[in-house]
Amino acid sequence: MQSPPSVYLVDDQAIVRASFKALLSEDDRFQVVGQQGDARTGISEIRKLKPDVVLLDISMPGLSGLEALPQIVAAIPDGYVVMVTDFETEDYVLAALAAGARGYLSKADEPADLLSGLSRIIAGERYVSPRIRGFGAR
Amino acid sequence: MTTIESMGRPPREDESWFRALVENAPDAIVGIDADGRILLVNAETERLFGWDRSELLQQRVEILIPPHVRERHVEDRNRYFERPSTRSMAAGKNLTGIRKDGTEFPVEISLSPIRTPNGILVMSLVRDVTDRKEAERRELTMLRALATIGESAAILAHEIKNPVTAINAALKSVGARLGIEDREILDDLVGRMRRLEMMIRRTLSFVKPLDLHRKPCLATDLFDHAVEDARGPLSGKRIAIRQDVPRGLGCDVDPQLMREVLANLVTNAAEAMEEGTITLRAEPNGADEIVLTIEDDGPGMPSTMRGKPIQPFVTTKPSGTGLGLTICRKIVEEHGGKLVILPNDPRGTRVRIEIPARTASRAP
Repeated sequence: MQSPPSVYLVDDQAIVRASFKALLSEDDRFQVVGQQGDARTGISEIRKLKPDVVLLDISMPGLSGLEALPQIVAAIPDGYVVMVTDFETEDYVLAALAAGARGYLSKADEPADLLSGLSRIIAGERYVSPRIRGFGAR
Repeated sequence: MTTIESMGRPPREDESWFRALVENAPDAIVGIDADGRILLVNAETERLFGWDRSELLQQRVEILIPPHVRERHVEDRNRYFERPSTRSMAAGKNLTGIRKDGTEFPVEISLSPIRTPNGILVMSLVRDVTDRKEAERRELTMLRALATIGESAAILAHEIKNPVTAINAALKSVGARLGIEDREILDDLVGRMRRLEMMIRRTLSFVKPLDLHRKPCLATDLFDHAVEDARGPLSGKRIAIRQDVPRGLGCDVDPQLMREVLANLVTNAAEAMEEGTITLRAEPNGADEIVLTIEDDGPGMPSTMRGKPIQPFVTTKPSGTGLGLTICRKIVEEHGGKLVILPNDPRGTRVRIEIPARTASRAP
């Protein structure tokens, strides 16, 4: 049997990393292979580990998620980067997708929605949290 | 070998020489005993404090000290006499003397104990430092003024730059339509304008542009911090703060500087009223712009300022410099945004800040 896709977490808040780890560990569709609170350290670990999916926060001290995004996208050419953030500003979503993010999830999403969104992204879809469409001012 | 001991008691002639030295010293010299009684004063003491020496001798030294610190001085004096040493009194603190006529003045005092057959005598050297304190105060005021002027010069240069550029362009276009004789006058004017522009550019280049450290910031966090910073002006007033901010709304701004802007605006609103509501609102404006508004239902801007653009040095506050809003506007503009002040409906003031959500959104 093929092993489930590997997931790496980058978020400065330890409690958020712990919650995601717990959430994903309960689901045999994913396996968490690493986590990091600092984007710069995260980038070099991601280069080594080559996870299938990176969940990336935006607001972090030091390098922000949007600044780190291009380097992470380049580090895993066969993988997907998914933003998981408090920010629901449409411009951030557009910027993230333009810079190569495959999906955009909100930390306010229901856990079930997060998991289904994530599995859709792994299946090859582009996915943006339904919460963000609420901003559809365009 | 000659030591002080071996010299013995100075002869009478030398003692009178020593007395003359004390009497004519440039500082006031006051000698007191362990009870704080004045046993000796010199001419400068009489001059400085305005008492005749006959009025001072045998009085407690506290007569030379302002009433509100007398009690404290008695304690300090007793403690000093337990372990007398040569030192300056309360170094670093502001000491004050009082004259016979009740006027107070800043002094510096140094103390030295002398052992006599009748016990310890403490000699206090008192120096009037009114002039020095005044000079220090003036220097500080001057430095503050210079800092303000420096800041203002930068803002003024910034203000002048645009109209000068516009005049220059207008002159050139008028010049194209004029006859040859008038052209010379115009060329001269254009040359002068160019020099003016250069001076402004040079002034501006002296002033560092704001060093923006942009980070994704949530609007709720920005407002929360601003309200925290404005706690002082808000305290003791019946002002409710209402936030109307959609979850997750954010923008790339310098968190410190934007906090300063919003705190400044909340403070302005709080200072304008005793009770009421300050509403902090954030909303997206299209996909790439965020609008932050600070509304109050206070008395509103005075009619003399209403509808006018923000100008440096224009203020209605007694202690204001008229630079607060100018600086706020500068910070917002350096973010690529816009700050406007509007009357609020039905009453009060509304400050509207439009700011690009992301740095790259407004790239030219």
